[in-house]
Amino acid sequence: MTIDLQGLVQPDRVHKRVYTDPAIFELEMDRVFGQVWIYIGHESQVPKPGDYFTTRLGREPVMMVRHADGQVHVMFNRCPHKGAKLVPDGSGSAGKFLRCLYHGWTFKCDGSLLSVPLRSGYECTALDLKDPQYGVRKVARVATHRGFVFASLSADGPKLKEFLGGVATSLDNFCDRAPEGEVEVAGGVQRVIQRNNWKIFFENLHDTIHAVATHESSWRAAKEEHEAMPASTPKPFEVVIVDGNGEPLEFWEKLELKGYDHGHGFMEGIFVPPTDPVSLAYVASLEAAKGAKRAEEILRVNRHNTIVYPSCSPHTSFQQIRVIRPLSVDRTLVEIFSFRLKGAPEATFQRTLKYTNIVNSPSSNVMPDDLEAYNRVQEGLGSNGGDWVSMHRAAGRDQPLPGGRGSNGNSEMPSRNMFAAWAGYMGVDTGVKTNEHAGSAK
Amino acid sequence: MNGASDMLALVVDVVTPLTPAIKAFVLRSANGEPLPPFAPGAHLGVQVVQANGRTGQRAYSLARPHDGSGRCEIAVLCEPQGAGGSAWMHALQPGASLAAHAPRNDFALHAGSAPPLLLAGGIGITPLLCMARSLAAEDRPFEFVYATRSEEATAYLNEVRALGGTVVHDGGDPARGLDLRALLAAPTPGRHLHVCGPRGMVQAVVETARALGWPDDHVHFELFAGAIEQAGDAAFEVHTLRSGKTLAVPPGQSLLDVLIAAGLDPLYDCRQGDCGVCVVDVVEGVPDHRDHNLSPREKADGKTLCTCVSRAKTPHLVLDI
Amino acid sequence: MNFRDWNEQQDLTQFLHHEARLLDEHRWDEWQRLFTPDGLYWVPLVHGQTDHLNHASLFCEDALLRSMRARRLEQARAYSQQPPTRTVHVLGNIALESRDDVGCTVRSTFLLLEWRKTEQRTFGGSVLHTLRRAGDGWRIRTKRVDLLNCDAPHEALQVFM
Repeated sequence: MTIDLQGLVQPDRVHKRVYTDPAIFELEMDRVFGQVWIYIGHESQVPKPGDYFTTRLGREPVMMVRHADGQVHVMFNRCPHKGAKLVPDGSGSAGKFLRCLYHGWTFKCDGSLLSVPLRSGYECTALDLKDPQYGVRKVARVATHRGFVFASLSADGPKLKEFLGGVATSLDNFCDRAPEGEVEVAGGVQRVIQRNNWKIFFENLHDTIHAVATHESSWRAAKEEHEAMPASTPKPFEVVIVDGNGEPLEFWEKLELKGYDHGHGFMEGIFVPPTDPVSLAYVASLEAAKGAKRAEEILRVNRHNTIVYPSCSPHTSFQQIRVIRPLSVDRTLVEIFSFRLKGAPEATFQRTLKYTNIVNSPSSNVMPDDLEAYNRVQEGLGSNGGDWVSMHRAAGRDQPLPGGRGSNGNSEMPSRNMFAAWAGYMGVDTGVKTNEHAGSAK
Repeated sequence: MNGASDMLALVVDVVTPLTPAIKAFVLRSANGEPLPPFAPGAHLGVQVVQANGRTGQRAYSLARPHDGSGRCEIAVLCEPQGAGGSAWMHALQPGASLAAHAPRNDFALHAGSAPPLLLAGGIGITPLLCMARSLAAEDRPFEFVYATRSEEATAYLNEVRALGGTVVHDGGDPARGLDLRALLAAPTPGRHLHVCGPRGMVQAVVETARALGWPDDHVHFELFAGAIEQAGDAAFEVHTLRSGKTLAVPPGQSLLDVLIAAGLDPLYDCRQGDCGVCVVDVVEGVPDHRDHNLSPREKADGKTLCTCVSRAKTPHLVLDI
Repeated sequence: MNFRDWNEQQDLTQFLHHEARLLDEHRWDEWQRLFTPDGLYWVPLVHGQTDHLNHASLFCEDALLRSMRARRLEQARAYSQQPPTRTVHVLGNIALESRDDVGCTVRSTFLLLEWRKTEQRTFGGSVLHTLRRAGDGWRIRTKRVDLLNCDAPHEALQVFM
């Protein structure tokens, strides 16, 4: 099956088919999710030898497992004997070795074959038990940055550090904000199903001008709530995180957007020193661990959403990571993991959970209107009422930066940046003459 | 469980003291019928009465090759520290009745294409004497070495010398006895080693032979444990290379349980010899395979063993764990 | 533990039925007034969850958050409520768990049908109401809703379940 992808991605607009064509989705599974570094999970999700965590890498069911020697491996969740999944979906502990439910083949937690029944049956057959193909197949590459585990189905391509480029600073800041310099997954996982193509969600992450429109019902409700309180009541945290969506467009313009090669980027806000007791206690704990100067340096990096394309979006200010798993061309699973900053007061973590309940839970007071928007986009794009999706805003005004580009907060640079990377992976010529929007061409 | 069908009714014919501690017994079938045929290395499982009044079983090798008659010969070492089986034997007078299982051979002679080497220690002489007599009767050459404590303690001393055997006395100190490295040097294809004697001697011979390159299928041995019952499991010792422990594995306990009790945290799963998870590498000693996992070739190689059900043929095993 | 008599059973059953009807009819203000000032509406995220402060939840809403939700649902530009969610609650197995001077706890099971846009969703599970006596009636101190499929991926859960 061949598809003509040429012309689908232009520097300032993309064709609707990239969101609606199932054949293009299948190609993405091969050329994007089958090639690049994909976020698997955090090491703290498998704290002890024998612990496992399952997830999807593109189409593939994979598992992250900690071996007896402490090393974390990422393997296909598939027995080499008859193909059964070795562990059930979710997370748990395999004990000292992985054991297939079907015939009892066992494997060490690094995937190497431990035992099979009836070894005599394999003598003088074509099955050589010493052949590594009878261990659990590992994914081609695994690498970790500050405990965040990434894997790639391809043996080729840039190393993780080169792939991340400047966006690694978000992962660093995520961890540096912990007095102990480390974070751990805690407090459960929210899971949301979206009825839309995965790329629509990614484009929303740095879509600064949608908030005032899409979330009008949320920020108005929050404002009304505050107005109904006695006059001198300080604005509660719950109201703050919701009514911020109602800021006028000139507010968003002042934010900075950075885009990096390979489609990554982040949105940086202005740092305003906090005054509420929970924040003050947290800042004090960071200063105690790192000194006032370094603490201030760390906190001054004040980012909203970060994008590590095409698999996750860390939020450094509230210690959450959204993990995006495309299920089909019009269906996407987003899992939101919360993290504890090791060494910070417990109230900091409780506030993180409050944030996840209000913003990232399926019951979010903000997200349903996003989901409605994404779904209406998916449905509208399926019509013949047009062919193109616009990314024109502030096109041509991006400022080149080392390894990427920058813009003000209202530019559609992030979308253009992501599609430049996408086009490179998919083998689409975007017609861009300079390297300004180079993705990672294979 | 052996059925009554293979039990022989025997009568003590002649009792001859060979040394102060060893007596030879000629036994004849009670009904005068010829005894079942057997090959050199075979033994009789004789029913004895122990000091506690219970019947037991003792394996005594047949010292003379089968001659088609109703008579056979065994030799019994009296063990004062034992359970009383050998003491009971020694008290038997001509005419006494005896029951024994039909001859059984766990220690067959492999004549091979080159003269076999027969090595005996103490009362272990009996099966090897039988082998030597058999080979001599066929005019086949062999090498025969016999180690004992002293001349007075040596049974069949003259017969062995007459058969061309070398007798070495060590006074109870093995270091003064056989030079195993010299004796076992230069293994040749087709030349088989047969050794029988006390546990320590057999262990040393088997390990030295292996170290000097004797293939496992050219090394044959039988243990004489003294007063320990021959039916049922024997205790053995295990040394673990990586954790440096020396452990005793008694008859009623599996090697796996001993490893677990010692805190070594071994891998295991089915505990019945099927899954293969508990397989460990054997560095020294000979496994007694009782599993259904390893292939016949792997069992013959003797380099691996399933700790949950298997035991040891040698008194001592060294495992790479 | 069981109801003392038929009257008590009817009293509590009617209260639960009334609460469900308020939700099905989108009478949010009246529903909110059923809670004590410190009342909590809690839908745990995982089976057997014991902690709502140190573990995320599907809903963990005090008076403020319940009010914000209700306000949002009624906004003209609540796009995800165009059309609005329709529900029906079916209750059963209403049983008294405990009783003391200030109130009681009641366990029940429920089936919830939700219709919006293209799909009718089914939810179900058990509910534990911790109630406080208020005059002749009751107030909700805690409503804990244990969904059978709490840890499944969900689309938006907008209305109170």
